[in-house]
Amino acid sequence: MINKKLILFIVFVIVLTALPFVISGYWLRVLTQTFLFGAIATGSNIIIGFTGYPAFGNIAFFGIGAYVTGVLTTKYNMPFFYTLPFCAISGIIVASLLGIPILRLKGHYFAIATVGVMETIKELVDNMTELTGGGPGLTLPIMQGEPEYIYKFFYFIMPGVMLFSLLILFIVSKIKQGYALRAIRVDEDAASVMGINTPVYKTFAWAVSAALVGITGGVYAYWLSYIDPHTVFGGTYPVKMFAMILLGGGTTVIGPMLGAFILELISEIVWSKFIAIHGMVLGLLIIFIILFLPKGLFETFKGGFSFKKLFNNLKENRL
Amino acid sequence: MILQILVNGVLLGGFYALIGVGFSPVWGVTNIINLAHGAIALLGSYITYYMFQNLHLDPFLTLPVSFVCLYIFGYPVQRYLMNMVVKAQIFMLLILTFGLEIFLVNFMTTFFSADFRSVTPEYAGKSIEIAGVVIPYIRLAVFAICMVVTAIMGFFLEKTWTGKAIRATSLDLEAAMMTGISPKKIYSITFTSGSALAGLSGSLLSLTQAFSPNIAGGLALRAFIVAILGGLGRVEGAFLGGLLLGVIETLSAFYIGESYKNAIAFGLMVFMLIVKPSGLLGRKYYAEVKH
Amino acid sequence: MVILEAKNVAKSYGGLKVLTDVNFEVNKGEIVGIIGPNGAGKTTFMNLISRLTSITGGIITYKGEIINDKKPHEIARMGIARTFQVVKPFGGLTVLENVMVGAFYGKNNAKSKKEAISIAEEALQIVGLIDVRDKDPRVLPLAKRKKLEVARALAMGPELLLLDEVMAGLSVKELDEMMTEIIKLKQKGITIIAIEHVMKAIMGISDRIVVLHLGKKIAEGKPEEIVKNQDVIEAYLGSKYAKKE
Repeated sequence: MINKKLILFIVFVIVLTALPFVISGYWLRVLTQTFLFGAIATGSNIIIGFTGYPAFGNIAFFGIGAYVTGVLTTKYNMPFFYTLPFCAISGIIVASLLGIPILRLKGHYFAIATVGVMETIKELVDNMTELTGGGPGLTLPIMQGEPEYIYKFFYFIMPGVMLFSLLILFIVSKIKQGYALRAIRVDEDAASVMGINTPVYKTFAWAVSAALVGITGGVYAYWLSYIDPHTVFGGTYPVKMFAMILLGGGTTVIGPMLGAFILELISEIVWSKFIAIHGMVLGLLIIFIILFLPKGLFETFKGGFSFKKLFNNLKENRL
Repeated sequence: MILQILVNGVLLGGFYALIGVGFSPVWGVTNIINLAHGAIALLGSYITYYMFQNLHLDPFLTLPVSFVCLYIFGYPVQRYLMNMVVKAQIFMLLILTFGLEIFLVNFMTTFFSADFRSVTPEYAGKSIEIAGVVIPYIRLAVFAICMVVTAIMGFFLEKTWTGKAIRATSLDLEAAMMTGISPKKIYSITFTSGSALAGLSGSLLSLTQAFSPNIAGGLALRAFIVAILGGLGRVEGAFLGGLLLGVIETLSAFYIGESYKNAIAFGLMVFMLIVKPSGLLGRKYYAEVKH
Repeated sequence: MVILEAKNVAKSYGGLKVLTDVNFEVNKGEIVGIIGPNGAGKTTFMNLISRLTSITGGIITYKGEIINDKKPHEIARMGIARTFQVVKPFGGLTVLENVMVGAFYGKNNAKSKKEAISIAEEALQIVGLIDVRDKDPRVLPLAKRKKLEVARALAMGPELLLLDEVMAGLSVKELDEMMTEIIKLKQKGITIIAIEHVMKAIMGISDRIVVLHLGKKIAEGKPEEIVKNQDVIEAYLGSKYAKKE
């Protein structure tokens, strides 16, 4: 069974590697974007799916990472790759400082507190015009080289980040600390009387998640070579990220990544056909997922596809 | 000068109180944090805008229209969307209302455009001056309406049987059911009246400032701040929270800078959540409540 | 030797007094049963020992050390384990993995996965769940889930085990099994405090019984003394009945 999974995974990586030599620039960009979301969803899942803390505003770390890379490359002429550790470290610092007070909150209070943190950081970045360029945004140095080469460069970097997040998530799921996180998700009191120092573990989970999402933000900034506070802190990112985690299943390692693939590719197909109503369709899609697929695609259709299962899901949570 | 700022703050605060009064009971009773509250309010703004623009109706006369329209709008949303997931995990509801918000904002952008609109009747510029403090008539009227509606809502929750049933449901769902209260009815009344109040506040908003679909998120977050400041589900809490937020916003806009207004409001919210999540007047912390 | 001591322990929520001036000692190797009608403050008392709620008055000492300011996880590391009245296994983890969490983080503090597995297997062996080790605990019947709770606590390597109504809702046969298990644990040298509603069971296994009523200790003694105690009968059955006796 494990070997079968491993073989599938290797095939997946080989296909990814071969793709850029077959498909066009447009689809390369689409796939890069998909990997970006795969990385965000996977990184965020450590706190959201594994630990059960709905960090709605986890995108804050994406923005922080994007701006760390942005500022370091423009103001300090630091080479791109060197900025990535700083993205991770800033995420870890912010998550650790905020973790102890904020992770005491539960349910929506925690979710909204993270949104508050995200919005506050966004407003601060928006106002620190000298350093960050403020509202109009920040233009990063453009990578040297042929467009073909640049496309491929990011095509490989982005899944690299995603696979790295996936690897970290896999390791966390196997080690002692991973058991603690899952115990916290189910019942925090039970976890604490079993000897788990819950505040520390929750903060650990958030910091790891922040580091991964931060790195993703850094790569994003260099990829687009332009960032502004309103895009990297919020927008539709938080809700998309959540929908992906839900769709794929937050308790699994690869679920969020698969969720990202499905949602992002659907939304790309929709985007290219109906530009005007794209946002409306996204909203409806999210409503549909919550109503019919709250347990995720794979958990719902474990034993095969049927419409009946969709309606059973619908009935389960109604008043 | 300081007096003028304070007055401006209180006037703005009255509006925030109304936003909070529509938002907070929904959270307290049904456990739904309605992130679409701002978008629903904007629907009211557009109702007023189009009736003023096309039918030349006085904007104040459109208030009952948007109240009724959004009451009617709220019913199916509650019955066929919210009710379907009330028993799910808490963040499912958050995402659902966020999905609704995205839908409504994009709907408005598509059909009403993303341009900033404002409603300016001929008396828009007129104002009264008392002791050097300038108060535009419209703002004063808006403030008065907000106060009256807030008071009516308070009276409704405090004195009527329906209001008492709503409060009982928010305190203990199971106990309320045992006394014969139907949660379906209560949830429906609470949500639809919340939606109607949102519409009303949106209409009033259109009279005092320019609006576009993009301010929906900011409005919803402010409703949240008001609810958190005052404590959940309580009208007097929303009143206090609204006034506080209004005054703090205007003061910080003046002393620190207009552009830091949002940062301070959101920072304040995070601070409040960390220090006293039950709010200034609140006694109950709802996070553990499972319906 | 006294392992746990409560001195004038009190707990109140605002003005509501849930426990007042509770005093008692637990000796090493004993089984002490805490009984009392609903609302007597039994579970609250247990939450105070495991520090899930704050103590508002008095002190609790464990092995001579005051534990009022300890955190729940520190209490666990000191060798106090507990079960919960409402059984909540960690879903998503198998039965064995559930028990491994105890082995990893309790007093045993297993360093490697291998060590945790062997501790967990031993605990499952003791409670008789070894044959369902790879199942999802959510599909187990209540009696087995209660045993899983006990196994999880055991894997922590406790010296003092707090059992919160592990016998409630069990059939007669299951009850007998559970009683045998608990006696076995005592023989292993584990001190046990058990809260129970099921009178027959608790009387059968306890060395000593403490009776709480409306937040106060109203009696303490050997099981055979307790059943004859007028105050206890009154608390359980109301004063009318006690007088008739």
